[in-house]
Amino acid sequence: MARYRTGLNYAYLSEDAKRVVRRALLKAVAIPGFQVPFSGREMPMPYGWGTGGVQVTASLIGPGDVLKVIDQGADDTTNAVSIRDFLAKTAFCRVTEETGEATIIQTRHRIPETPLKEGQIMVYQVPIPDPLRFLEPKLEENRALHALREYGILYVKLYEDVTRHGEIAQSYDYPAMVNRRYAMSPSPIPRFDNPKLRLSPALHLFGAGREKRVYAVPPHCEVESLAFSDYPFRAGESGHRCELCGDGESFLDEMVVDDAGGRVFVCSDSAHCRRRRESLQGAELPRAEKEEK
Amino acid sequence: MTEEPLLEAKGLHFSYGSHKALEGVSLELYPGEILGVVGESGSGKSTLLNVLRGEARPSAGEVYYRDKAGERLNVFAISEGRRRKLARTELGFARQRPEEGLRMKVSGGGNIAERLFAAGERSYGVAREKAKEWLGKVEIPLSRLDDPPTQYSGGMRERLQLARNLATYPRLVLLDEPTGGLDASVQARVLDLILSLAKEFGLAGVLVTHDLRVARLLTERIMVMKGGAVVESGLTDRVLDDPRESYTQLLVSSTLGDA
Repeated sequence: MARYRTGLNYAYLSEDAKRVVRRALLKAVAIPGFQVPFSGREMPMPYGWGTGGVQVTASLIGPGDVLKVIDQGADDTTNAVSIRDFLAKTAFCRVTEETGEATIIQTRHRIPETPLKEGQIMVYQVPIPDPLRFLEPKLEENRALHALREYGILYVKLYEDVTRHGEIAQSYDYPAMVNRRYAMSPSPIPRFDNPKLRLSPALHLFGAGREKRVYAVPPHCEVESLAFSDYPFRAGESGHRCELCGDGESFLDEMVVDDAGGRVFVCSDSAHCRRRRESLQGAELPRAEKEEK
Repeated sequence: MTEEPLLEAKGLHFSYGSHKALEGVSLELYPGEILGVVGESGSGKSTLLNVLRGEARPSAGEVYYRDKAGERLNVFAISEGRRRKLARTELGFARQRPEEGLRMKVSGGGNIAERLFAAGERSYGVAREKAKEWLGKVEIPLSRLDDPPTQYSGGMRERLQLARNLATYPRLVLLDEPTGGLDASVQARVLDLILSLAKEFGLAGVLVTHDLRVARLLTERIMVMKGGAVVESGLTDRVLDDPRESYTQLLVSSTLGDA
């Protein structure tokens, strides 16, 4: 099939290693939201840099795939660039920055603004896969809570938030119920992106390298963010517009631009922002509203 | 007594390795009754409670619990899910060290709310109101509602643990030395509180203590344990005033002051 220019196996991992990951992924898809352990391999990158995501992607990718890699929504940050290069070199696949063009999108922290389509696969790099990790550290008890669907404890965290901040303050890694059965930690994506998981036509795969677990949200699956009946889930909006493309709907990053504490807001999704700027060329940008705090 | 017992234990045996912690313990507990279990350290009192609450599976013997619907359940034969559900709704368990029964990093209100959420409550407003109500019932100032138990005194922690356990109106409470580390005046208040709450809600309870005065004050019937077995049982006043067994006599006579 391929000429292994690198001297490594196709997509770096051995065929056996990939088979192990695929088997775990099949189970994960069959039981939405359930964390499936797998025998993760050492990757040529440190833990915390996306070893889980890379193993999932490497197990799925073929020469016909088109890969997009983002980190905090951007295609051009160090982590995204190195993972994209690594997979392009070892899996000989095409790479892209266009969300609509990609068959596999590996991500850290974001779901692209462009709506996902049927047939696309999102691969998440997950640091802490278990939403109960810091609430119930005892492993045996933790497993019992998942097995028996005893998730009352998750509401204690929300209770503390509302008590302290007057609202549910958790702004990323916001826990959600998958298929009304398992509580899931949607990796560190912002709460803003949680609604995009619900009934999404794409397949969402989560890989935690250090913890050696994978889990999945299959296409068209119910994903409900946890909330109180009297404090419903809110995705939240920034109340600002992107400085570059003027978008007021997308997820924005706040950037310090000078030594005087000047700050601007820009789209976190760099491909989305670029496409908007191109299509708006010549037209006047919607004014960025600056709010004094 | 014509009423059916709420809790029955028959011939319980339990071992930690080669050490036999329980050797053939049986008991019956009726609704609205508080049963005392006394004995020296290592006599198997706490182990008995762990078996009664369905946490430690006995090597022999059975525990039966009659639930709200009147069904007599073999505690170790029903599914784990059902057993745990009973434990967090119909059963209260106060540990010897309240720090182990509380979430020390979560506010006092959150500790009470946890029990409500575990029983299915999903409204913040309702949970908070009930947390306030229970804090009041156990005489913790409302101003401490949002403080974590790390900032509570020992007596307040004991009382918070009680509030947390009672918040779902259990039918049975298991108390393991509820006043263990408290000074005399605080101890009296906590005891008083347990008594009044038990009366108010018609609670049945098993109270484990090594303090005969506490047993005298709170319980109607008492069991004296030694080396994992019951050496004597009967009405509390009878057992403490007129102990039959030499071990009980020793226990009563070795109490400082009047038991």
